[in-house]
Amino acid sequence: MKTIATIILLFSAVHLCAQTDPVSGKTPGFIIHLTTMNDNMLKGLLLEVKDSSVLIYPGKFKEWRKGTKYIPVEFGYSNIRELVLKRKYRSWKKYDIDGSRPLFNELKKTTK
Amino acid sequence: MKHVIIMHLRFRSFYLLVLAILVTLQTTAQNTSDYSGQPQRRLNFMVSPKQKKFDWATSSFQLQAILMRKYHKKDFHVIIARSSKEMAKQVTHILKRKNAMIGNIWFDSHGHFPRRRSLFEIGEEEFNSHIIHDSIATVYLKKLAAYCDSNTNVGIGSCYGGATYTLPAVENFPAQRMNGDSLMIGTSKLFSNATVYASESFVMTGLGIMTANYSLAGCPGRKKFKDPIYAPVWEKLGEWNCYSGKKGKFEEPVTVSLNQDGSIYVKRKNYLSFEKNKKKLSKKILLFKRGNYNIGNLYQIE
Repeated sequence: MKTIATIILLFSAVHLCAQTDPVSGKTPGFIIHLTTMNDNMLKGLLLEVKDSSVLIYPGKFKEWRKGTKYIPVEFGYSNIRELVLKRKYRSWKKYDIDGSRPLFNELKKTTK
Repeated sequence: MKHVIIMHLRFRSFYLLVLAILVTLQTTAQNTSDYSGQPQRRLNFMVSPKQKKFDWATSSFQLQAILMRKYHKKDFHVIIARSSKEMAKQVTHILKRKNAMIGNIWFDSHGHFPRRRSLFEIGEEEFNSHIIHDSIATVYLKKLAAYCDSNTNVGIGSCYGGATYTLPAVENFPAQRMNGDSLMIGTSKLFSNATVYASESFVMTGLGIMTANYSLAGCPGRKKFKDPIYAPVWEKLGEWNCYSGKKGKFEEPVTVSLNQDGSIYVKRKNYLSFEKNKKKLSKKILLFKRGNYNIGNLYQIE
């Protein structure tokens, strides 16, 4: 019983230490490589997929953990050509959006 | 008779030798002090930032400078400082002790492309075209003005430190001029109308930077630099602007190098005047691909 209690205590401590996202209150789950309609590349962490845009933290996980404060960047679907997402321990997944709404909605479903 | 001629020749050569020594002594004396009694001895300084985290470029520069200092202890000093206050304190201490003036001063620093402006740093303090005119921010640099004149050379050793081009608009960021010329003019005024050299393009810190060759010019190999965003920088590879405070105008662009004693040396030919370098550059420009540069870096600044 004592062992279980200790494990629970340790887990709760780890949860408290983890950095939380100021926008959604969660640690970002995806690394994102976004290609804009002008073919520029933005690398960062996916904070949130909104109705018609994505919110990105323009830094790395290392910087996130350190608590480096960067202003999140918002990109509307009309300015996104392609998105590549990666979850921890999973492979890269590519989404061709090409500035279209239906394709963006598909992304919303899969990231929920 | 023959013996007399030999004696006469020996005496003549001895006389010539004495005359030569006297002439040399006189010219040396003229170099060390002028008629007004002002100190004329010139010292060279290399100012580099004290690192918190290991940085390969800065470490390489510091190591090479320290190595060269071993062979030129009289004229060359390496200053590793955290701020302009610390730097000014060390430099003025040396100058006062040796009763000398600044001959050449080189500010080794990183340039920051995402900030989209020309700048140089001393420790963590940034000096750009706006800050250089701020009397409070430059109060410690101003202390060095007393040891500078129009014969002093100042080198801004940061990438894009003297950039005059306008960077094209990227996503939410409008087109922006780098204003390296304003930074150079401001620096010259700050250092008593000194001559200022600053690069339009990259400043390399590979091996042999202080051997008066083209090692300060060149291009980096990393993929992120091979993006059309960097095109204006690549087009001016190895080009340094020179602002003469004495004449109050910009001279012809040159390629700059450093001598072993830390003095700034202007190469006779520009880096891109060599066919080999031109070909290399045109090959690399063909390989440019949009998307190699992470524009997230630009958003990190705001």
